[in-house]
Amino acid sequence: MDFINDSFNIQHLPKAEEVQHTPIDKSYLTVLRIEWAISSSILIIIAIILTFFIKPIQEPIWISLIIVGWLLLTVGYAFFQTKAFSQKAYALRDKDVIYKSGWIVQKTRTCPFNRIQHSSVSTGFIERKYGLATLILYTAGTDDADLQIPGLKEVDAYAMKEWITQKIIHEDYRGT
Amino acid sequence: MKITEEHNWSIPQRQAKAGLFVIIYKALLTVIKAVWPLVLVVIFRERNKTFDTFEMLLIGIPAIILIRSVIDFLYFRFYIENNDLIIKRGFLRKKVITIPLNKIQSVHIEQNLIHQLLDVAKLTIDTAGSEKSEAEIDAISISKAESFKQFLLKIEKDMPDQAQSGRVSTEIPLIHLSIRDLFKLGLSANHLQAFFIVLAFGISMLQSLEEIFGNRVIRIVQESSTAIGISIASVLALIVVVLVISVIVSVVRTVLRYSNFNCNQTEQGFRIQTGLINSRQNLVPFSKIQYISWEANWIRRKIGLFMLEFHQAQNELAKKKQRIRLPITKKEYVDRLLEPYHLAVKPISHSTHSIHKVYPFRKMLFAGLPTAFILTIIAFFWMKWFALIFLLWIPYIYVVNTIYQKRFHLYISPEAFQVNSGVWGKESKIAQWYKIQFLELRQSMYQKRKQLATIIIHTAAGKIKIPYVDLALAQTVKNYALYKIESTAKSWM
Repeated sequence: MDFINDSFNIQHLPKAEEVQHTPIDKSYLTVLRIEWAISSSILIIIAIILTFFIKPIQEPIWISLIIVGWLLLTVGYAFFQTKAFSQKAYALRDKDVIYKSGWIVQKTRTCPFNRIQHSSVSTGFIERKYGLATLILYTAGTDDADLQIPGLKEVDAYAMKEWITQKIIHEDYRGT
Repeated sequence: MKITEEHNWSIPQRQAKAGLFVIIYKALLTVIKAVWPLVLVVIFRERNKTFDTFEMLLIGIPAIILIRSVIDFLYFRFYIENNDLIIKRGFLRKKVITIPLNKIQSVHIEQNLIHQLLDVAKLTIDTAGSEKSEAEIDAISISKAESFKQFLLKIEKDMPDQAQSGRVSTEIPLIHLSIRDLFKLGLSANHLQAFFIVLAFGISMLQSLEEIFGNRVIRIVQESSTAIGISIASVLALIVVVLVISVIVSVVRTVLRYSNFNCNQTEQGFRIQTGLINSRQNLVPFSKIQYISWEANWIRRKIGLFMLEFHQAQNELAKKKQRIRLPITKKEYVDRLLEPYHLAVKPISHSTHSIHKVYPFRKMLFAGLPTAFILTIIAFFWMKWFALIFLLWIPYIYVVNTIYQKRFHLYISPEAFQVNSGVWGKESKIAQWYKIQFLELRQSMYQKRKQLATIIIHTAAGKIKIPYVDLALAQTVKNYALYKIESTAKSWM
């Protein structure tokens, strides 16, 4: 395929799609499931409280509808979560980070180190119990968080952050 | 004179003690904003109904906020380590934010009422693309804030493009609009906007007339509309009058906005001046331009008028919605404005690509069908079979997207790419490869089967989407863009 007709040979470009991706740590799926279990319990508790207060829906049809709806949501979300989890993977290259995610729509984000403005590591309560952390990288691009890699071992996350920070200090705008 | 004390910033430290109040105040404010209707319900509810859970919640929420605020305060630390500013915070969800000092763009010291009462200040640290920085120190003593600001900015990099001083720069005038151009612009403007302004104005006028003259106006209107023959004519006349007024309003608005318009090229950027009453001057440094677009609606496309926009990194200016748009009356102006950035890619493109033929069909399936069916079903309840008219939405979506697919072109050159698109009008975008911040490739299950992908290119001024192209092309675009970003030794801003 013609792309750029130059002395520059397009075939010799480093290919991001050929890199070996590291899948996310399996225990992160457990974390996600616990988090979802908590959210879904809160949901049913709210539903119970509401049914308790609102007279018109205290009928068998509505109650069974609520229960069926809740079950469908809980199971469905858990299913999607599991499917999506298997797609989550990342790769570190010399000059950029790649993160893949999504099951129905697969997204691959690639973020060069010399565009990163700052970074952060965040660990939720349950994540911490499993020794996991999320690495977040920010560029000047317009989306909220540009690259979030969840389910990293806490030590790895900090090491990666440190490594990337060193890269962005030394490389500054240049990449060569 | 203020004495700035020496501080050792490498020691992790909390916010000022008074900060606790600032944090509680902030948290309370957000909660009150969210739950005030509930509070009203409880206060004004009938006494005989027992609603104890609500009351318990209302006492419970502030207690939780109080505890949370104290914890947030206790777990907040900031310090400097190896040329990085580090902010640690959170109890349940812990977060460590690292900002390299040479990436800090600006530091703001802010004081609102509560800060003034407590004699502290809020410190915000901005990096490029700052809306998401989260680097805020809610409360810090003023002297500390000043000296921390000085410390942070002392280490700041010296930007090469800000080094000029006192040099007399030569300005080359680029665009000047004649009276004729102004009228062309005004006549081809989007009259719908002006129509609504006139409509709103008319309605408020009618209302105030009513207030002044009471029922007389209405009676006159009613009397005059009783004769049917006259009423059709008068409705037509009314429409014509509103249309004429709308056009006049558009023309006047455009003339006001673009008289005295001139655009000069200086050594560092474009100087743009515009407006008769609210005169406005903008400076666009070449280095700050992320990408350039120019567009024309259907009428303007026919008479060769364009609006060109410089997209800059989104910062304070962009937050105020100050878009920098220039009217283009001659085609050669586009080239002149593009020249300092990158010339149009289309004439020099090495390769041209379009989106896949299946695109309109998929759009119809996923954007057209669901909306059309939902609208039809809802409308069926009171329009009966007339509701089927909404099904026309489906072919409409198909036609629109077919035109979009036919008109969409991606042009590639070694230093930049250009995207041409548009259904009724026309829009072109041009961006240099190295201005890209990061890239995203998307593939739905269908796209995966068909070896197609959607590219989303994120720049500091917004994103550019290239839908439904061959996977191989998408990957080449991505790899080439990454290569250019990572090997270009130029600052993107």
